[in-house]
Amino acid sequence: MTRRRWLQELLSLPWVIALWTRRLIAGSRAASIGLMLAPAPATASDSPVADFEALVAFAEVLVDSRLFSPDTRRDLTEHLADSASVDPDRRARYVTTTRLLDRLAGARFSQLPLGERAALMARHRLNVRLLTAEESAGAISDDARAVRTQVLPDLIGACWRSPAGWSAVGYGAFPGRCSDLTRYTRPEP
Amino acid sequence: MDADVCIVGAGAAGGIMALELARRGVTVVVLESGPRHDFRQRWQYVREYVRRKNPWESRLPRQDNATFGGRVAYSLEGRRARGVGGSTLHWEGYALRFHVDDFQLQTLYGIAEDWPIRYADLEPYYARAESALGVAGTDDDPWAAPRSAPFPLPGFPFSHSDGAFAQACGKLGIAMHRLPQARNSVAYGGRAPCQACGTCHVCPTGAKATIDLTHIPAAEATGKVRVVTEATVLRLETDPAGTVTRAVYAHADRTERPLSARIFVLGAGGVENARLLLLSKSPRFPDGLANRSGLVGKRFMAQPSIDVIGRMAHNVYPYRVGFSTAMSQQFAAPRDRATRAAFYLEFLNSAGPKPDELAVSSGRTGDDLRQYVRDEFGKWLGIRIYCEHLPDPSNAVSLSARALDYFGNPGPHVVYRLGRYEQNALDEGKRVATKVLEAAGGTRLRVTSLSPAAHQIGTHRMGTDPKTSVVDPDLKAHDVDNLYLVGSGCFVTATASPPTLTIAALALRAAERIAARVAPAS
Repeated sequence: MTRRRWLQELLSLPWVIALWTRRLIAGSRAASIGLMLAPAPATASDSPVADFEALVAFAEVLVDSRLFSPDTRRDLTEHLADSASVDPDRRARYVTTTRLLDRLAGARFSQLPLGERAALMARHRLNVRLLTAEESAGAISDDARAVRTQVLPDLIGACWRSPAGWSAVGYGAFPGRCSDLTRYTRPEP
Repeated sequence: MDADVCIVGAGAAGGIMALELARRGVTVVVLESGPRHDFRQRWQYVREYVRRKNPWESRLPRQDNATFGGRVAYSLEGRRARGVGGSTLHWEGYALRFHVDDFQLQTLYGIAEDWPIRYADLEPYYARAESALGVAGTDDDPWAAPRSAPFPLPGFPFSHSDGAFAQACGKLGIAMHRLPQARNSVAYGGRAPCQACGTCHVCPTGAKATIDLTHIPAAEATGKVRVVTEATVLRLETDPAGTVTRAVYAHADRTERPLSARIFVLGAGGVENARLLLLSKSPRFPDGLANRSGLVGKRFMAQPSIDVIGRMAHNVYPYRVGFSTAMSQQFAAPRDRATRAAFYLEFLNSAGPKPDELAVSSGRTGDDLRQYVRDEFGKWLGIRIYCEHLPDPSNAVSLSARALDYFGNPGPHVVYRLGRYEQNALDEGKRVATKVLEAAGGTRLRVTSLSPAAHQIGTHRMGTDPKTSVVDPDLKAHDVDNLYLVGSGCFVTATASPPTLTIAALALRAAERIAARVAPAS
């Protein structure tokens, strides 16, 4: 990846956000209205997202429908820690997401089995990225909206940027992992 | 005197000059506004880069504050790097010589102005620059200017996707050839061969030629060169006779420190060179140092580029190498440039969305998402149209009335626009690229938005007439006998070729001239 490509990506981020916003606004009207969430009660998970466990557990359902490998967990956790350290807004959204998930679960979301997590997310439409017209008009809590419109694409993007994401498209080497120089001259096996 | 020569900026021009001067017995102090980026940290930089952070971002707050005018916002973010190595730290490594015609646009086509030197004047220095940087190339460009020596390194082989382009170009009568680059195709200069890490913006192996590796260590090893890092030059001061006596610089503590030398060289890039001259006003130079012509900062140029991409039915395996291997100069050299700019075609090895971009834009999750990305990734081919930019008096770098830098000085105000000349070429380039992609089987063709190059050109142009230029053919300021302005700011025209190899050649030439003045016996 070159400087120009990097610059283009940097400059295209607003376009991605704009596209995403349009998709959200144009979301399916047939879908049901999401749960209106009450203000969060104080729970044990009000502590900061120090270990990002809930977010990783959330991403496992979103991205893979299976448990992450230790390497993928590490890559995602690094992304979350890095993002939270430089972007206070993003950090606040991570806290909001963790609290929301734990509250809906009535326990630590990260400690639920994968199937229960998936069911909970489906029940509350937290695995659906597009908002319905009703949701766009306000029939959804601010917290749920932030999770679905901002945290969800953040987690998906981070996972697909990681080695696991490249591996899923058949690449053992990718931008950031060196390989045999002649590999680029032939198709992948 | 602190040194014979004080160089501002440790990038392509400054770093090369430092080594060349030291080899000729001249003592040099280099003042570099950025840090010394430790090569051992490159992998950390790579990790930041793949997360879309800029590891070369300036470290002081507001150090790059700027304002913009014109129809196209020319942001400096990501378009230059501070640090030992300068913008070579993140350059693409494309090392093209200019064409013979590029030096004579007025004579040949009645546009712009001729350079005061010709290709033949620079050719020996091009050869030396290629050797110093380690340029890999193959003598397969039908329009290449004459060479006195072969490329020092073998060219990189064409990529898998270049094969699709070659077939399409063959049908259309377009000659495709290799793209010369300052990147090790084999081990060279004590640096490793390229390992296709795919992050050329941050080369973790040192295969890409960067001045912090190719020149600065050798310069310092002579014992003649001292590099002072994180030292931002605030102004140059002159005596009543108009001779520069000292550079005033500051570290992060903002304490002003003077540095004296017999000769001063500005090699801080086309924007900073102009800004520093404009900041160095004095009663003798009320409009800025070396600016009696009024041309400092004027005729700013940066080549515009656009990409045309198309979807193929099959996987073309993009993103496996960070640079392009094929290009065509067919629309750059053998061309009537009276009304249309020159442009070249760069056949991209990486185009279209990456897996994360597909995933994020899909609106899908879980297994559905996984299948979608697997099906869609790798299908896009792309061609970049990289276009000449003519000098235009309305494009300029001046001092901003609104933006102040970390040290309280006005930042640059950059005005950038394109004219009909460039637009004609971009339109033609779009048509050509569209034909090539369609001939390759591409569908769903798209054109990306225009992106000005990260090259800042023309802000202190060279010439023989002090009324119409800022520096002479040796890059000495017309108005100040002990001041040299190097880098792409001295270019008379931008051409359609990236500037770095020409910057290097001109720096070698200027260093010879300076050394002859400072140490004639050496």
